[in-house]
Amino acid sequence: MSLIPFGFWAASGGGAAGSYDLLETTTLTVDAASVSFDNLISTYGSDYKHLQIRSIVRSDRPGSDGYLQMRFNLVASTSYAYHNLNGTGSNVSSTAQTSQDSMRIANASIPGTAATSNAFGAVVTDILDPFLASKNTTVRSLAGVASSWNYINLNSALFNSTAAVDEITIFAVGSDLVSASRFSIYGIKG
Amino acid sequence: MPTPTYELLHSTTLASPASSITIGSIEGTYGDLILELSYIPDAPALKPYLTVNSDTGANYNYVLMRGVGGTEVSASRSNENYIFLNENGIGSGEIATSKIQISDYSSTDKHKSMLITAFRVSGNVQATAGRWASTAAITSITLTGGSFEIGTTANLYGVSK
Repeated sequence: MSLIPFGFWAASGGGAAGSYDLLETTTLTVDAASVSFDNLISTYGSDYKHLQIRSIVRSDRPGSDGYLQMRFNLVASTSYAYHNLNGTGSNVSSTAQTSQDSMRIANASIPGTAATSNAFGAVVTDILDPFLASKNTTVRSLAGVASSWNYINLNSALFNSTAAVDEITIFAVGSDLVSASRFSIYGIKG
Repeated sequence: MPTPTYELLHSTTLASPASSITIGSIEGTYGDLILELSYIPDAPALKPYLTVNSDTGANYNYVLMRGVGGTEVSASRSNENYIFLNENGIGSGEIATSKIQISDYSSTDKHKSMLITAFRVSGNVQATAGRWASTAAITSITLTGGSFEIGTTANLYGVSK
């Protein structure tokens, strides 16, 4: 077995067998306000260095586009910052926010109720060193959708806390995540 | 219980030039597919594109953003017959790479979403979100669009869900 275990930009590389493990998957059978992965420190903290979440998502937000957000440790204060580099289908733009109550890991790239039927947004999110308590935790993601609404974005985010990440919560802004959306979390050894 | 994944399903290294590369008989036991390409065009310039399940109908949609040394471009395409990996094309003798990630490729309840990153060593970087407008499971992937030179590699991985 040959592995290229980490990073959506990686074009080549390798690693030892068993460096990239599926930890948990949630596939929604009914609409839900959020999806969470918890008890991460005690369950995975000693075995893995990085985490990756691979998502395929649709929301019930009215309109064509939606936003996917993420929080750590149930912290909903102004502890987050993020940047988005966006391709809108007609131009390239960037946005940035500080002192936010969550991180944006998919910017306008989650289909809403008016988007093409059966279209889902794809999101690949890397969480770097989530179990290190000596530095703030950083996140990067690549997200996109091609439907009646088109958007692609490369995102970076910061959890302005040195606390190790024990719980991850993912939600769509002002809407539910709809049935058939899927979230899988992977551990990457260091 | 953690499950080791990211398994190599197929590996090709071209020993002679080829006008296309097809990876068939893809089993449906994984959640996502990741296809890593490192390709070298033969003259004339290569403009590789992707189709799945031998479908050349107008069922492909994509949006891209690209940086070309000081110029940024975004465009969207609807009802196309394929998805370009790099719309700028690759010049003869250059080396380019692409990573194609297909989510829930074996599902039958959603269209197939793709995230593609492409790098042309002397030219540009591009990210693309694509959709194949079908709920059919993907069982084959074909890359076409010119001539792939000796040394081109295509490695397909399966990621469990």
